[in-house]
Amino acid sequence: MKLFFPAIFLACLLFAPIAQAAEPGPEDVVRDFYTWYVPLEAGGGAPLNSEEIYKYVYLPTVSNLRILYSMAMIDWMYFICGQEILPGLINDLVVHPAVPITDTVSLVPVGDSQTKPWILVFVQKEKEGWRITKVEDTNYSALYLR
Amino acid sequence: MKKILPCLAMLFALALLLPAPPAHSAAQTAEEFVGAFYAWYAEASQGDGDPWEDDAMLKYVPQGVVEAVRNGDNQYRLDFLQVGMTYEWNSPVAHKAFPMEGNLMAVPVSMQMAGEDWHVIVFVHQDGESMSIVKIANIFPLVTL
Repeated sequence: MKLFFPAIFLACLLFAPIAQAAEPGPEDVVRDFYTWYVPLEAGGGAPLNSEEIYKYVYLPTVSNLRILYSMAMIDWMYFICGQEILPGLINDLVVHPAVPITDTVSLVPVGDSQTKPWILVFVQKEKEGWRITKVEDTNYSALYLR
Repeated sequence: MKKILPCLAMLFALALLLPAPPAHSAAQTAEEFVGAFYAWYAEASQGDGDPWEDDAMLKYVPQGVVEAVRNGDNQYRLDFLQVGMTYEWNSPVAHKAFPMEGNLMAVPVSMQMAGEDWHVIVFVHQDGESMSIVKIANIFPLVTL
């Protein structure tokens, strides 16, 4: 009995970091996503049609994006917020620390080493883990410039 | 008494040498600017007031946006503010801003709307000391329309 509580304490100390590490956080999911997405998109693959995208992106977001592309309502690379993937971006994407908004929603700014972030990735905690629900870029309507 | 005067003189000289405290009117932060916008908007919405018809709106929102709303685009005002039809919010709090490309600061704002927690991200464009709210995003997943 004397050794019971110290043993429990020791077990907690040993296993807690492992349990924590098992659950990827918002930045991890965003980093993993872009590591997977950028080379595939740059190489002419079709990441949006891959089943693997569900590991990173919220299912309704994928469905809605497919609709938007099929209706030609988007003509840019949604997740990059641009028309092309510049050479070197694959190795130069910088994922900034997440900004928690609620217990289940976080923002992850993404950019490169030369600039401030230009993509704001919204992630939401789902049963399966954190998933990307949308991105916002730094563009705004010409109305705002007048 | 002989010693007091030189001491006072020295203290006075020291005080003059010390750097002046920062002026209170130091540049406003993006979160302060956004906080001021929501505080003003809430007050200007009292009674029959319509903040969009008030020229003070131009202190916070670019003229092109204000003109679009004044020209009758009611949907535009709701889209811009990212609030529901009633747009009656309570207790907006602007949280710590973070920088984005293009001289933008993103400011998370939380508030209560119709008894629910409501969160938006306000994008503030900074040009020197002048600031302007250029975009507001909600935190909901992507929708098709």
